[in-house]
Amino acid sequence: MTAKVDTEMTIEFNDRTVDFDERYRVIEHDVMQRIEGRVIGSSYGANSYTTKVQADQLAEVLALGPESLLLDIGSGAGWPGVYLARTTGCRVVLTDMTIEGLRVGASRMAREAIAGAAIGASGAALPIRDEALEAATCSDVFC
Amino acid sequence: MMRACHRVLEPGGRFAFFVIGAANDLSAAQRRRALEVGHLDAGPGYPALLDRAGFSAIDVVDVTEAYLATLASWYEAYEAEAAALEDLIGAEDFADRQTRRKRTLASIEDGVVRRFRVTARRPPTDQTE
Repeated sequence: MTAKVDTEMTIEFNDRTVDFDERYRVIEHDVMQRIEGRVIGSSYGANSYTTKVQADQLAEVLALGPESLLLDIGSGAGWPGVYLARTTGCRVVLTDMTIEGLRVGASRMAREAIAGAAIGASGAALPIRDEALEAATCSDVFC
Repeated sequence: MMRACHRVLEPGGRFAFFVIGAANDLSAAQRRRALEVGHLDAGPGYPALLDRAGFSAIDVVDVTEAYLATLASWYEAYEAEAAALEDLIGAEDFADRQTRRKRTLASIEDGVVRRFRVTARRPPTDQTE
């Protein structure tokens, strides 16, 4: 598969397709939570390689605080965006193409009283007004 | 996507991301191998792409060593829970994920695939628009 991003980067994958909605349907299962906790140190349905230590470094380099509004592109179920909101007090906007992942992330935000939104959208066509955010992040979205 | 991020960030806003990709200066065969395990070719590289999108203060940190350790940990944790995972996601999906992890681990160890943390900032006053 070949996909065009903006006008200057061609992303080439092999011919596989991954059903991320299917994957996110099982992420809250006990065994998945055990594995994620052991590998990443988190419990957010993470499928990237951003460890808890690296997520904490993101909070630093993005200078996140209670006044910040963070965009997490390709957030899946909210790692690291929701975690960063919980640890820094910032608000967070999750965006992804997997609605199942966003459903899990939005539920967690509601449970933990985290302010923000979850939006089904491509990172290349964000339905967000100009200059609305202080910070943006993504983990292993281009791969 | 970088242009989209630039647009939605306020002047002075920060962008930080992790990315996995083919290493620079690969032979054609090595590049094919990186792409076969599902990773992108960044072409001119992330600093150039960010610069074109209008970002400044661009910094790239190689985090491949941590990536190798984390991927190996995913592989080992899956092996340790193999029976439960085969029940949950199916034996075929389990085997597929583990096979891909092994191939990627070998590609990292051979220097074909790397992971980076990239940080950049939208300038407080844009010079590009």
